[in-house]
Amino acid sequence: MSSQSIRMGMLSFAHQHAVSYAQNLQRLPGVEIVGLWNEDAAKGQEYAQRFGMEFYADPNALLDQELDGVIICSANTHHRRDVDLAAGRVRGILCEKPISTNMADGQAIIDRCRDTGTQLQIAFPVRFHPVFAQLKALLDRGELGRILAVECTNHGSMPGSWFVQKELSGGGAVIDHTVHVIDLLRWFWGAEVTEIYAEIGESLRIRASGHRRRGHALLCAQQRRLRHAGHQLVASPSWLHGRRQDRGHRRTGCGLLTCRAST
Amino acid sequence: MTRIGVIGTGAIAQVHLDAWAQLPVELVGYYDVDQAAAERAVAKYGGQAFPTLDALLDAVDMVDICTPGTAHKGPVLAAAAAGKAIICEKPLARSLADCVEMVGACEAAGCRSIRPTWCASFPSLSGSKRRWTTALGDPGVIRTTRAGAFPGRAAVSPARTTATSHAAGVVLDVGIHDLDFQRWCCGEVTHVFTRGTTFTEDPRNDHALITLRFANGAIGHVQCAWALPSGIFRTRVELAGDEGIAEWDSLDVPSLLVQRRNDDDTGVETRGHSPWDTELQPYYAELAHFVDCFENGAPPRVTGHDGLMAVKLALAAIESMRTGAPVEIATFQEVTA
Repeated sequence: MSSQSIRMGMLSFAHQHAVSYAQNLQRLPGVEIVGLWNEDAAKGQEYAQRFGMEFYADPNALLDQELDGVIICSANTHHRRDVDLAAGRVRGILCEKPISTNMADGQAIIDRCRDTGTQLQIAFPVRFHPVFAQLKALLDRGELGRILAVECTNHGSMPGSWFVQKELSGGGAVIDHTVHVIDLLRWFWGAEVTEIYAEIGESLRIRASGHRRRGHALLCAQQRRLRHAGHQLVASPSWLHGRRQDRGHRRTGCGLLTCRAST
Repeated sequence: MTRIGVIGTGAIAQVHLDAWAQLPVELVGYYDVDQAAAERAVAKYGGQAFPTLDALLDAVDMVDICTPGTAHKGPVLAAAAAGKAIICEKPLARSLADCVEMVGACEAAGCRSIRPTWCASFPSLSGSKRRWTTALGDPGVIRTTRAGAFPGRAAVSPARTTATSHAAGVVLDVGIHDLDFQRWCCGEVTHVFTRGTTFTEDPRNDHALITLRFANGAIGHVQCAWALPSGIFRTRVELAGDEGIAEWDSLDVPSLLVQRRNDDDTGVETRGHSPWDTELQPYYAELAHFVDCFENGAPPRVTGHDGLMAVKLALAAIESMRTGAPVEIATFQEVTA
């Protein structure tokens, strides 16, 4: 690697998206993955071997390697801890969504990065999906006229592991899948949501994925309704898809069904 | 052969008549306040145009009421008094009080059935419902869409133009199908919340989003719209339970798609989901079921009470849209104009 390359580290592989990030970092020219840290050392070493990078048992040891940036893929409630650790020691942080599971942690992460001059980006890859980029451009050109209503879904299968532990995930599909959809809608119109109405289902057992942890407060389905700067919006994320869908891309549909151009 | 009379011969009646013409019944004739419309039906489907409603009732066993939603009550009460079996287009009526009166009159008269026409007979929906009850496990979320353009010819109907009325707009006209379907799948609704454009300056672009909570814990979502460009009509259903998910979308490409010029060369007739036998066509299936109920005593799949409850859910959804607050079904009171 030349001295010009960007030196990246990966803080935790708890979120499975870390695998995608590692694969894609390796495809990017001028990027060097220095190493990874993971809470579970055995799994961390497996990932290190798989991607040909070094495993660090201590995140500080990894952060001491003069990194340019880190990607944080720890469990949702650990994001603040890991941002606190890395901010000021790297130039940029890409943090897996959701930024946090409460507003205080989210604001603390933003403040910490601002105070240390660290570039912070939250992982919302849907914005980079060519279909949604095209949709955004189409909206910006006003091709659909005045938008009356939007209905969105984000279905996936229940991921299991820490995602169904409320103290780590913050609350099931509601928080995990809503954020993608909300982010798209805020991005489309640059407007903030003013009102939310939600119905949340807590009792579904997701037998298809082998999990029957009834003791957990699973929030597996929701219906969310927003009043968005005069638009009527619905986002309906869930973990109700079977495992089959999990192999491919998650379905993220955004149907603009009121596409009558104003005259 | 069972004798059928059709009351009202407008746009939806044409769809019914196409199906009646294929069924083993005697299509006796029509009554329409517009005599010329009834005569046009005679020319196309045979039978006779009756000068009065009573004259038609004297000549038939069953009536199919296809008048506008605001004009169902008179023919239903008259047919009930005459002891006829009744199938009535949706919505049963625009007011809950009228629905109660109509269903009560039919029960008092011992009518064989009063059935609001409905989409239970659509293969996509009945198939989804079947899978729900057999393979999807406990219901989680049910989402349906029914969206098309503003109904041009029917725009004269007060239900469609009086946007400030408490019982106006796309929910009662279009969303009622989905409210009924979802109630069929998930049982009774506890509360409803709606956002939409019914009470705006642009009621022709009416678009409503309805959220339902069912007593069994399931969550329902209905999207209904008149805001699509003319020529597009889309329906969609998605049922998710804890064992799996079933989806159907009218935009999906069917396994076999047949598009041919229609008989009078005015447009394209599209058929998909081969083999689409006549028996699978929803209006045909619905009317055939109605005849079967009448002739063989089969229990009707959709009762007058179902029709009444669909109106109640629609009115509650509209009330929620008007007030901006959720509406409890158990305590919902109709707002009278």
